This record gives sequence, C-alpha cells and structure tokens, in this order.
Amino acid sequence: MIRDLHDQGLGLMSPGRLRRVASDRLAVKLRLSRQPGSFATTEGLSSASTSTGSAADLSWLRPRRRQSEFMTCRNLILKFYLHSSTVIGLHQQFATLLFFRAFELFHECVCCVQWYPGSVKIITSSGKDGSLRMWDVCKRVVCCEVKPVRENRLTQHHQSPASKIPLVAVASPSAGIPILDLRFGKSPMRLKNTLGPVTYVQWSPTDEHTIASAAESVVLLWDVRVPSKPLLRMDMSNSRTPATTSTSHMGLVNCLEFSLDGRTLISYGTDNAIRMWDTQSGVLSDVNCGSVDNYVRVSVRMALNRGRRMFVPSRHHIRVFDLDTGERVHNLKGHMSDVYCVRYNPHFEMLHSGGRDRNIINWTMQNYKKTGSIGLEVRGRPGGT
Amino acid sequence: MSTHQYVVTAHKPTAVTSCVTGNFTSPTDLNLILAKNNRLEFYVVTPEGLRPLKEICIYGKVCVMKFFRPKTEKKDLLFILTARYNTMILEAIGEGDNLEIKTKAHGNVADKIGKPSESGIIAIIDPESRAIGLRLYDGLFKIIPLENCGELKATSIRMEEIQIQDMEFLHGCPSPTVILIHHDHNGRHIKTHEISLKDKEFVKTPWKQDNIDAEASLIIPVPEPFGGAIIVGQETILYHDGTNYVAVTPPVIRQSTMSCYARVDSNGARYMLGDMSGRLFLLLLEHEEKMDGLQVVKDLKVEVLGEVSIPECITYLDNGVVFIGSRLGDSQLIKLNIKPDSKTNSYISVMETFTNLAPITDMVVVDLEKQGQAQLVTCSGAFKEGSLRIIRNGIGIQEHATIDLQGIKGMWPLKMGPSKEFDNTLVLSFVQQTRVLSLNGDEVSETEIVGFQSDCQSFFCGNVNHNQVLQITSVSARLVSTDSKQLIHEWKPPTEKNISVVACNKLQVLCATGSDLYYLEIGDKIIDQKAHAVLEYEVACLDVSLLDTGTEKASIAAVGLWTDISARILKLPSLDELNKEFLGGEIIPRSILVTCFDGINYLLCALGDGSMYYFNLNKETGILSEKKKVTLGTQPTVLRTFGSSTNSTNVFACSDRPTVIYSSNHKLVFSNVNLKEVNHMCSLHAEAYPDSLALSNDNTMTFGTIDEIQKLHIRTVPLGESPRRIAYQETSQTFGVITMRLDVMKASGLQPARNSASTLSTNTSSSAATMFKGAVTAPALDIGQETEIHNLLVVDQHTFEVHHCHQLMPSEYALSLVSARLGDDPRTYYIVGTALVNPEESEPKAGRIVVFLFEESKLTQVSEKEIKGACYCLIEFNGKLLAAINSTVRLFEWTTERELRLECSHFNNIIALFLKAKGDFILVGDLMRSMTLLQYKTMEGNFEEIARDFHPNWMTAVEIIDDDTFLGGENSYNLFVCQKDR
Repeated sequence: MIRDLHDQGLGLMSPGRLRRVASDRLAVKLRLSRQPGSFATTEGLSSASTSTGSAADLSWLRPRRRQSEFMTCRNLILKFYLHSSTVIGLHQQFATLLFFRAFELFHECVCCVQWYPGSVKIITSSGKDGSLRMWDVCKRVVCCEVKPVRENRLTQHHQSPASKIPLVAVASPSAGIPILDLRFGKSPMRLKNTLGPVTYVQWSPTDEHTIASAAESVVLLWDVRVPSKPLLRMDMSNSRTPATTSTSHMGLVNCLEFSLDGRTLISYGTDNAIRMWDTQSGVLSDVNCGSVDNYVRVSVRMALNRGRRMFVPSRHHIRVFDLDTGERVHNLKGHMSDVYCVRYNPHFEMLHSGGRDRNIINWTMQNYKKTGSIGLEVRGRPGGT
Repeated sequence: MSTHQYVVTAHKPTAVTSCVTGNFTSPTDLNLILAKNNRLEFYVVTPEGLRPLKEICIYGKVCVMKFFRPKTEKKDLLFILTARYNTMILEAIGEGDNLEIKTKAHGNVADKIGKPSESGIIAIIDPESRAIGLRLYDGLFKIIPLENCGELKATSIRMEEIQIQDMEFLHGCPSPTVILIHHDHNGRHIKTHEISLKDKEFVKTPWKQDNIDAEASLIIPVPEPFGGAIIVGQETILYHDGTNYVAVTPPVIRQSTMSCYARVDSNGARYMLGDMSGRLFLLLLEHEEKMDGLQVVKDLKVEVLGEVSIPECITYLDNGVVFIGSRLGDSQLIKLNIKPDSKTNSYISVMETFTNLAPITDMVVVDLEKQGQAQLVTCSGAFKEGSLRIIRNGIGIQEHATIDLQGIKGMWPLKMGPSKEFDNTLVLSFVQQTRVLSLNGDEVSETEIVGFQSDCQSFFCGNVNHNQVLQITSVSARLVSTDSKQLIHEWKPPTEKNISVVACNKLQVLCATGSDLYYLEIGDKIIDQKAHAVLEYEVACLDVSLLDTGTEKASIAAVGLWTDISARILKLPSLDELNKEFLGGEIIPRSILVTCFDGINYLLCALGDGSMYYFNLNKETGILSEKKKVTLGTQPTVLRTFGSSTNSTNVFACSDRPTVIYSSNHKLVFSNVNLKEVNHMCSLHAEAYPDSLALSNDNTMTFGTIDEIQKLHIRTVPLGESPRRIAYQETSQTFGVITMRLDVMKASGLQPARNSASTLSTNTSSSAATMFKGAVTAPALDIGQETEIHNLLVVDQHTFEVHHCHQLMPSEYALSLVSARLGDDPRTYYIVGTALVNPEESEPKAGRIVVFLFEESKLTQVSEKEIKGACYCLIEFNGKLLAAINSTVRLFEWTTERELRLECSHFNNIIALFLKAKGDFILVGDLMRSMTLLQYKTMEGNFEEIARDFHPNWMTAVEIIDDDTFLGGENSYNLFVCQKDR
C-alpha cells in the first residue's frame, strides 16, 4: 500500500489502478460498520404484513454523488438512503425516506428490484404474482406493469446495462426467457430451449447481446440475436462435445455474475461450488474456491468489487474470495440468518448485504469508535473520476 | 458566505509526457512538439537549437500524441488522445506570427461500458494513414478510419486477446495490419491481425509467434524494405517479419526494462532505446541482400550509448541530435558523438537541459534570509533524478561589488568626457557634501569635477542635452561641460530661498523653493527660466519624467504638496494646474512619479509611511482614475525608474522592503527584492558593470545586476536518490530530508546501486535491526535483486551540503518527517515516522516514531516509540506530536523523561494519510473518505469529530485555508474546497 501510494505520487501508477489495488488489499478490513444507523431493520415495517419481511434483494444507485438503495421484503419495496445528515448529527446511515406500501396493490412477494440504468427515478421490480413493474420513485406509482409469463410467478429479472434499448430478461419457472422491451412493454422475443425452469438471468456488462441463464443445474450463454438456441452450454466436465445430459453444477444454480470485463461468468450453486467460465470458449477455469455452503433454494446475489475480490453469501456468512486464485481471504460474520443478497458499492468501497434476519448491514473498512458529526458542504463540483 | 476560491498556476507544467518530430508548421520545417500534461509546445529545430514557436493549452490531459501524414498532404498532422478519450487531429495553418493551430477533426471515443485497460491507453496510426487504432478497454479494439475527416468516430472490434502489452501497425501491408503482444497464463505471445476497413473486422491472422520473452513489452514496427517488427523484452530482442526471425540476448539490457524508443533512419536500420534506469542504447539491424535482391535482417546489435535523464519518450531530431523527454527528471537535448568520451565511455554530450520540477513529492515554504521573500524547497524527481529544488519568487540582485560609505543621500551616473555609451562617473551626495567617483574598469577612485560645487548636498546630477551636465544644489543649478568639466552657466532662484525639491529630464528642470515653482529649460550653454508659479502649499515632491520615449519634452508634470496632502498634475510649460487629487490621511507624499507601463500611463505617489497610491493617468487632461493603494514598506519610499534588459520600464521603490514595480498583462505587479534595505538607487551602465544598479543603504553602496523579471528562479540540488519528505529546522539552520535509494544484492552483500547523497555523506549512522523487537527480518534477496533503503539526511540550509545521514533498518520505510519542539523541552527535534513493511501483509502492522536531535553537526537518536502500524503523517500540535497511524489519529505527549506517551486517539478512517492543524482544529485526509475535521478538547483530553465530507474522494493532499474553509486534492487531479456547514 505504501509503495502504491508512492508510485501514485510519482505518476507511475494510475489513480484507477490504485483504487483497484487498495480496494483488493483493504477488502480484508471490511467489518460490521459500528456507526449508528449503519444497519437497518425491517422489523417494524413488516409488522403491517403477515410476512417475515426478509430482505430479498438490494439494488443501489448513486444519484449526484449521494447514494440510495432499494431493498425488497415480503411485499414492500423500501428505499434507503445512505446519507449524511446535518440535522440528526449522525454518520452515514440508512434512513427510510419512502417505501412502497403496496399490500394487494403490489406483488405478493417481491423477488427482485433493479434501478433503471442511467435514471434516478425509475426502478423495476418483479414478484411472485407474475408481474414485472416499473415504478416512478418520486410519485411512488406504478408506471407500467407487464405479465410476461402465463404462470403466476417470476423468480428474477435483469435489465441490460450495456444495451441502449431498455431490455429486461425475466426468469420464471416456465421454460424460456422472455426478453421485454420496456419502451413498449412487450416481449419482442423469447429465448427458447432453456432446458428447464429458469432460476437466474444475467446480462453481460460489456456486450449488449450476451446474456447468461441458469436453469436448474445448467448454465447457458445466449446471443439474443439468436433466440432459438444457446451460444454455449457450460459443461463442468470440460469435454469438447458436451453431452445432452451434461450439467454445469451438481445442484441448482441460484446465482450468476459476470466479471467486470465480461470475460468470465461466475456461477454459484447449491452443490456448494463456485465455478468460473470463460464466456468466449465456455471452458471451466481451474480456479477452485472450495466448498461454499449454499442450501438456499431461492436466487441469491453475489458481488464483485472493481478489482479481484468476490463476495459470496453463504448461510449467514459472507465469504470474500480472490478471483484469481479462489483463495478465501476474509469472512464477514454479522447476519443472524441466511444472507440473500450482497452488493458492493465501489464509490464508497462498502458492502451492503440483506438477508432473512430482516437486517440490511453495511460493511465498511472504516475503523470507527465515536459519534457526533456534522456534514461538510462541498462547493464547486469536482470533475469526478 | 460569498467568498470564492480560485486557482492560478504560478509555473507551467514541466514534465514531458510525450514528444514527436515531423514537418508540422511547413513542409520544410522540422518541428519538435512536446506534450506537458495539458499543454502543447511547438518548437522548430534550427542549427542554433530549439526555437519556440507556439504554446497551446487543451482542456484535457494528453495521453497519446502522434504524427501522421495522409498521402494528399505535404506536412504532418497531429493526432491527440486525451485521458478522457477525446480525440483530435490538429493542423498548423499560416506562418510566423500568424501561425495558428486548427482542429481538423475531433470526437469522443469513450464507451459507457467497458473496463479500462490496466496496461493503459494505446493509440496507433497506420503508417499509410488509413486508420487509427485504439485500445482503451479490455477486449475491444477501436478503429477510426481516416478517409473522411469529419467527426472522429470509432468502431469497436472484439479482440480475443485480453491482456495486451503493446500494439503497433505493421509497415508495408496491403491492408492495415496490427501486431500485438498479449499474455495469458502460459506467457507472452505475439500475434498479427489484418483489418478489413470495409467490414470493420479482423479478417485473418497472417502470422503469430507463441511464447516469446516473458517480459516482452515493446514493439517497434520496422519500415520497408525490411518490414516486420522488433520485440523488445527484458532479456531478448527479437526481430520477426512473419517468415524469418532473429533473436539476440545481449547481457547489457538485462539490468532494467526498456520503456521507449526512437527511430533514427527512415529505412529503419537503427533505433535508439531508453530504459527505466536512464541508459540509452543503439539498436542496429544488420542486413544482407539475398540473391533475389531481397533485403533480409541478419543480426541485431545493441550498444550502450551512455546515460541520460530517465526517459519517458525519445525522439531523434537531426544530425545526431536527440531530444530526451523526461517526467522524472530534467528533459535533455543531447548530441551523439562519433567517438566515445575517453573518461566516461559515453557517446553523449548534453547540449541543453530543460528544468523539470515534477514529480513534487513534498515541499516546505521557508524564509531563509528573513526578508519576507519566501522560498519553496521541493522534493522533486525520483530515482537517480531525485533532487531538491529551491524555487524563489520575486527578484534577486546579484551583488558584484560593495563599497563601505555612510550616509548617502543621492546617487547619479554620469557620462563624462568622450564616453557616449558607458557611464564612467558616479556622483554621490551626502549632507553638506558631494563626492564624485570615477569608474575605470573594475577600479573605483575618487575624482573631482571642477565645475561642481562639492561642499553642499546635490539634489540632482545628470547628463543633459548639448554635452552638458547639470548639478542642482540647494543654492543653484549649475551647467557644466562634459569635456572641459568647467562651469558654463549657473541659475539661482530669484528669491533668497533655498531650493528644496527638484525634478529633471534631459531638457526640462523643475525647481521648487517652498511653494514657489520654477520651470527651466536647458539650452546650449544656458538655463532659461520659462515659467514661475506659486502653489497653495509647499512642494513635497516633483516629477517631469517623459511619458513617450520618442519625445524630448514632457507636456505635464506631477507635484505632491504638503499640508493638504494632494497630488497635482501641471501643464508644461505654463505650469497651469490640470487636475488635483487629495490623497487623504496625514502622511505627506515623499515621492511622485509619472510613468508608462505597456502603453498605459500611471501616476505613482509614495507616502512617508511606506504606502503608495497609484492611478491611471490621462496625459492630455491630467485626469486620474482607478485609485489604488498598496503598502510597500514602513519607511518613506523613493521611486526610481530603471530600464531592464528587456527594455521595458520598471520602477524601483527604495524603502526598508525594496520592491520592483512592473507591468504584466496590463496589471501592475509588485515584486520583492532580496535585499534588506535600500535608501537610494540609480541604474548604472558602466563598462565593468553593464546593465547594473547602484544601490545604497545606511552603510554601504552596492553594484549589482538584477534577475530577469517575471520568472520563478529555480536552483537545483541533485541528490541522486528519491527524496520523499522534507522539513525545515530553524534552530539548527538545516533541512531534514527523507530519501530512498536502491541497493542491489551482490555476492558481498547489499551495495548501493550508484553513488548518491546518502552514500557520499561523511557522517553516517544507522538503526540496527536488533535494537527493536518489532523488527521484521530483512527478506532474503537473490543476487541482483534491488531493495529500498530509507535515509534521513540533514542538509545545510545555505550550502545544501549533507551534514549527516542516518540509515533506517532494512525493510523499514520512512513515511513522515517533522521538525518540532515538544512540551517544555527547549530543543527542536527531527521526528521520523516509519513503517516496517512485510510484503505479504495487506497493511503494515508495526512501525516506529523516532526522535532525533541534531546538535553540533551530529545527529543523535533521543527516543523511539513503537507503534502498531505505518505512520503516514506527523505534525506538531500545540507542543505535542500528532501522528496518523494506519486508520487512527493519535496524540502523543513528550514526557520529562524524554519519551513519547500516548494521550488520546481518534478512530474513524480507512487510512489516515494527511494531517493539518490550526489552533485546536485538526484536518484529517483519508485514503478514500475525503476529509474530516476534528477538534481537540483540552479539558477532556480527547478528539471530537465536528465535521466530515461524505464524498468518496481519494485524497492526495489537504490544507486548512481558514477556520471554515478547507482545501483538498484528490487523485483524479482535482482540487476541491469544503466549507464547514453551520
């Protein structure tokens, strides 16, 4: 770290590289943030409903250098706001600014939320009532509602970050992946032959045409321009001619994630394995992360930082792995029950996690002991990164 | 709060990041173009050297700069890519003063998605100018076709190769073909891709070569007739043209990594290579002609040419002259000789060096001479280019001769006898006495001018028209011939009153006796009284300076009066009052001056308390406008004009804080002079002292020359190793400097890689590793491996000679340095904060704070404190020591047993890197969490966090501007200001 800081001072290391290196090195310093308000619970809110109110998904956004976060629980969508309060005199904390108290209006159970890429006003959500909704955050109303599948359940959805067209892929227990164009609310195409009920879909962060899907234990890679058949079928035996029965995992695949350069697809299954696949060739890489406890039958979400660290929920822990070696470098203990979702926030180098214990936890590298602070007001906008 | 901060650059960037040569301004001019961060400098290469043509500033950081020449053009076009992915093609239009740089085409090639490459931005241009290729993001290659020069639009092509080291276009290919070095877990490989410009695709791979040098990093495309490319690695240099290849492993290149190259011959037979240790090599392609007339490369020869500044870029100009652009040291213009120097064995002679301050890792502001003229001492450069730079603003006077003379009341230079060009006589006026010095070469002797009255004080002496000299005393004005030195004519005021104030130019004289003002004109052997006026009050000061250089007669005069404290403009020759301006206050004007700077006329009026008013003056109507006031000193000020070497007018204000007044950009600039006190001055242009000034204070008279105006003065003290931190200690008159040098493991043990400041010091000491229980054992090094050794140097403030060098433990990094007085202890200590670095740990777990005392040119360790982490910053805080250690800020007390004792700590950071204190407030700069403001509660003895900026800024520096305003620097090259929220 010292060497890197010196190198940055001499111009031998670019700021971006320093950030990645520091983020990787300091990931082992992540700990439960002890700052007041840095963890939120949904207990009080969910008492209105009959459900358990577990935090099923998180999605964060940074509007104007501040940042807010969405979280779902049984039948609510909550917007949290990691903010600097001048009034309360507290630190970066979660404060519930608004929440969607939907009851019958909304899904029976919200499974997935996502900020509309490039907008601070719209979120998309999907739930077990089979509908995909677009919400206006300011007015707290549904602007659009689609039922892409006949069955009454959606497991997960994902909007393409790379495409200029707002395309959303939806995972549902029915075979086939509807791709929705949000401008029309219609499904212009459907990826067929998914080999079973789809548990997870994920768009490539760099290529607008590439999408990965997980159906039971098979991971497929698609080019959306060819909806009839998948581009690649990930085979864990790495054979050249995969048999029709070959699978990617021994169990259910409940999480997929692309690396930031879109070159590697990471899959995580209930066979307690994390596998990394080359998206060009479909070859399974020899990085071995060992056995990672995963028995949750719903989709979970893992996270990557900008460098080489991977954060994987495993029971009530979050395991931190090195992407290159598969070595476990850190373990985050704090949740009291299963962790469902992990999101890394590269701007603040923070980790957010939510789980069945109704808590959202903020993990930070900050070493904290005492409270009492007021904010500083920034005058003039720095040019950014 | 409505205050705003603004930033002004005092010194333009000096680090050369990129350089190119070509015919840019005209088909025949050879131009050198330098990119210095956001500035482009255009030079033309002449037999005399480099002549600057133009400088332009662009809004962006130049990342890549390249020349290319489309087939239809006669001169080169300049392609620039900035760090924010803006591209532009620039063209020079016009010549001489009308030279303009025009943007021919531009466009932004950024993508919203994509991972920026770790190995940086690569931009390449096809040698036949068909396309520009860019590698900005991993796995994507962008192509900008060059057929139509409208907006520059890039098309992306997916690449299989992810980790690309370097890329180039090959010469002599029917369609654009790139060659690249990429690496995977098997090693590094080279590969070529042919591009179809129509389909924007890679169509085929003409050839490839797997498993080349494991550290291959540089591709040099070879032009026709050979074609192909040279691949430079850590150990091997490989030439490959698709079918044949030649590889050599010269042992000389193994020590360092090649970083840049320049082609010498247009046929591609010779290249120059520069490596990271600052050595320059010549690479020669030996070729043979085959039976079928084909030229084939037979062998590669590498020869060391010598040592230069650590190069960032090299370009070959002409006739063996090479420009070495450096970012870590001074850039150089060098000449390659045919025969090596017999002593150094180097083929290089340096023709010119270009001072470069970058990279500045630390600096202190000191006032060494205690004259209110602060100097900046910076830790500049790195590795062998490391140096201290002393940067002085303001104007320096180099003393050439001093004479002890007391009580000088006035000085004037004269040209006596036949001398027309040089002043050969200096008249000095004392109370009741006037003395004449003759300047004969270096010698100064006292002489006499017969026609002068020497038993009384002179108010003015000077050469006037018709080969005459005028002396004005309190009694009369005397006209003396320069040849015979005899009195020609004498004028006395009609009343018996004594002359009190005078002003003169070559033709006109104004004399005041009390409130009577006489206007005289000088003719051949006669002084004519032309006018007389009685003013309201007594005259305090007078001036009849010429405003236009072309005229002989001034049309206006300026007068300052007693009693009503006014400045008046009088018309000449009638002495009618044109305008009057009340200055206000009770301090009388002591010196008044009418002058012209940059075509604008000014009236300057200095008062008895050292302040000065200045106005814009309309010379026709005498109207004064834009009244402004400055304080120049505390004593009565005398204003004198003098010409500088650039022929512009400058004004010297003599007082206890002498100041030079000049104009820059139509604004008056007041610049301090490095002298303590000046009572009188005159410009002197004598044979032995050309373009000099004569200056006097109470005891001495000095002849000196003045520095070039409007420049920062930079002095370099080379260290030969990287300086990291600097601190100034006034009591011992020394600087403490933390430096780092590289030692190489040899068979006999660790040896310094080269001689530098720390190895050449006569007094040395070191921290033995065994003394400290937390010490990390030095890692076992293989022979040839390098390791960093950190030192504390104590350097004399005047001579910059190293008094003492203290070497720290192996693998101990010195990170911070402060000179501080602690508690009631009267002594001032140098305190060093260190970290013991174990490369396997993510963060240092141990370190030391070591207290040193420098006394009687010896450095002794007084105390040391073990800490649990790296001490990134140390400051003195109200007699205590404040340290930033990993994520904590800790306050240490100095006990009577001379030990550091922890008083309190603050925890709310990721890594606290910077500290600044003002009163009880402490500003903490964090690695990635911007700034925090703490207050030390004296009663409770702890810190309270009172403000924080929540933006995720990665800090590189912090400073407290005032109690509410804080300045921060972050690593995306921005400055920002935070204000305390109330």
